[in-house]
Amino acid sequence: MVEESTSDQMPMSNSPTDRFLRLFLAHQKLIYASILILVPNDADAEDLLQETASVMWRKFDEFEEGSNFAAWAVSIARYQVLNFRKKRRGKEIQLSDNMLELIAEQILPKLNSYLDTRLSILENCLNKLTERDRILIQMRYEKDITVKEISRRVKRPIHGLYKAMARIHNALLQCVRLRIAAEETS
Amino acid sequence: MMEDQNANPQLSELLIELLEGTISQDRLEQLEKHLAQDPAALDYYAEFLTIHMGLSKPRKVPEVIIPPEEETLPTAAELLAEVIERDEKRRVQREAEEARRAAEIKKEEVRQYAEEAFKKFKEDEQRRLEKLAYKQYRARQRNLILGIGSLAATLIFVVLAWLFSPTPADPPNSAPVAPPIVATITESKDAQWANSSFPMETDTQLVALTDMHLKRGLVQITFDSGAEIILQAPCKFQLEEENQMFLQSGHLAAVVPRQAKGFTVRSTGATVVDYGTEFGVIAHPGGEMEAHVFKGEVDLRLGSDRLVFERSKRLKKGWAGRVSGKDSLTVEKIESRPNLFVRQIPKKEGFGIAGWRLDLADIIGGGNGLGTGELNRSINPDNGEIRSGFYRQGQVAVPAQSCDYIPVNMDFVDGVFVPDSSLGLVAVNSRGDIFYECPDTNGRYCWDVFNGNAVDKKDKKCRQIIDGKKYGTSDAPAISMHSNSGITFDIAKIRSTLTGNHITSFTARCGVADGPFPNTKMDFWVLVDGQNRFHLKDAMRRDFAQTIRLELTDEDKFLTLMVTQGSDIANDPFCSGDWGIFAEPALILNPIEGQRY
Repeated sequence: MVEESTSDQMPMSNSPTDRFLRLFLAHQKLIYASILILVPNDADAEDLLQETASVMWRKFDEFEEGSNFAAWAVSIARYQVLNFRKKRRGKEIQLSDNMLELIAEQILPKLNSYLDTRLSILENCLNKLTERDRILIQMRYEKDITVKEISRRVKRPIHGLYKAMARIHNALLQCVRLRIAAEETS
Repeated sequence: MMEDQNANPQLSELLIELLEGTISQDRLEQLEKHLAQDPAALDYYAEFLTIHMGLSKPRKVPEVIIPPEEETLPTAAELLAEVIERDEKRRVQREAEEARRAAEIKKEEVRQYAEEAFKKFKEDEQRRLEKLAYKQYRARQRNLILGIGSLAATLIFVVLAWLFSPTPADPPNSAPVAPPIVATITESKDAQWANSSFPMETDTQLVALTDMHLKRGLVQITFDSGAEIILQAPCKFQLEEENQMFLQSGHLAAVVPRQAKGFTVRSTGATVVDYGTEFGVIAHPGGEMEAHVFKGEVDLRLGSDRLVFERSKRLKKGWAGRVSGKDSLTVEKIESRPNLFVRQIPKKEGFGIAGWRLDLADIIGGGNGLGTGELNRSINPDNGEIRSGFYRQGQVAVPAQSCDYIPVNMDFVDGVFVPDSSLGLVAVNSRGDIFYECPDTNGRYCWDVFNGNAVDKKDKKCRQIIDGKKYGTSDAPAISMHSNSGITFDIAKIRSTLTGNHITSFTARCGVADGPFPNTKMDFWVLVDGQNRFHLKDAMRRDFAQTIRLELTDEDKFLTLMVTQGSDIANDPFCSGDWGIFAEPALILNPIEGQRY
């Protein structure tokens, strides 16, 4: 289901702690992305990553050395997501069960390759943004300020800011796509 | 297929709303429809979230339980014992791991505290220097003013003023240093400061280290960090930094966004440090402090130093902690009591005004007398059942199941009863005080005690009109009661939540509401600790409403409102039309004079 990562074969010390941490750190982005894609909320996804890490460590003696750590991790993360959704059901808006299944089926298997290619290119694309757009992105992501709070601070209607953020994200996405296409053709 | 997402910006807007957590159910369904119908949209979703993730700050490594290092292999006998006691060992190991994890976390906290302490030391030192310079500037100003007041030294003053007037050669540190701006007033309602010259307008910027005393009303302050507080008068406080304040006494409710995590409220006895949350704080003048958590977590620390403290407790949603006195920290799990705090400045006019007047009708609605309760709430006087809406027991008055005093499960309502002396002594509060003058009645009642306004289904008319005015609204509240019924408020408990106010009197207007029975008669009573303090006999619809004003002392514990059938009972055993209104029922507050906070 999830592509095998070569880091599973990295040399390891004998300590289970070291082995676990090494494997976990090598796959942390993937585990986080597999949670975020199912629970698209940063705060919830971070909590779930924490819980997933704890469960993985508790069950680490069940993990078979040499098998697919990424697949094992993502399956635990999915289980944590399902539990989390069950607890929150009816209390807040969440993706439907059908949609979750569709995403898990269609997206999770190719998530690793998405991360590999796109994250490294993103940095270059950020430099293409206008000064104004870059400030907005910095406020939202580096200062960790919500769009609602940004709208209050810059005294602009929130809907306008949603549109602006959507436009900037879309521009970054298109830029990443173009660069991938260019790399492939060259 | 979707070839160019630029042609469909709606999808990216939906995704932004989704990630910000502000998407509505309709919009979510719209998004899901897109994703389900178009595989390219699904790819777009994955790419979009990848971009979002790439832009976010790098995530810290989750804390995992670090186990003890490898142990030596057990012997065969030990292995056997281990097999037998495997479950028990695992349990012990789990506990050890948890303890170790707690120790790791504590160690990390200590490290963070040390870093913070150093940072704070530097900031404090900077602030101290600024304050010193500011004080020197003020002292110079005062000396100057004294000089002006001295008539005999007019000439000398002129000379001195000339001699000591600032020159370009003055050192730079002689310039006045104003304390920094740390917050802004973002909203207020009925607010009055003790210092009448203090600004009240929205958008007024507030400087640090100024003693502030809110005498009346509500004020919302937004710190530069983004933390928002609503203060309920009476309230004495000082803003200290852009993310810290000192609450000498009073109530506040705080909403702390993620970027202001760590927002701190200090008081004389305790300190509350936020961990990204919503919470309320009550600081009593004697040093007692309570922290109520509505969402997220806070740390309650003993003492007024946020960094150096003997004990602390982490409180989660639905928990409250209390520090009683200066050295006693007790934490108890109690139900969330958001009703004690005004958490939003009301948009509509309200009757209750913090620091001046508490609305007893709001207290029937579960509130604190400042509009935090529910309008249109009923309490059955026969069994104490609390319901939303306007309830009657039947077309006519029905006999009560018993005439016992029934305790009510509410914060400040002590209990209810159907008064009838013919069945025995009538207790009117949970302490068992007897109302010896209570008349004999037929023990019937019809409507629940009610705090709103309702339209009678029969004649489509409001049942809360006296003297031509409609009551039972948030700005003109009323308690409506049908003969025969009584309700008792626990004013001692209400008093215990006040910070710096006495309850000095009870006021209301009472009368028989407009309705289809013009000649009906009924009696109104107000009792304090079982003693009759007000009695209006045979009130009729055509009469003007009567004003009630009773002085109260700090020793008074229970206030009872009661209505009973009038002398027309022989003509109408069902008390038809006996619909009594206590309009604008209020507890009037006054500052505790001479109290040092």
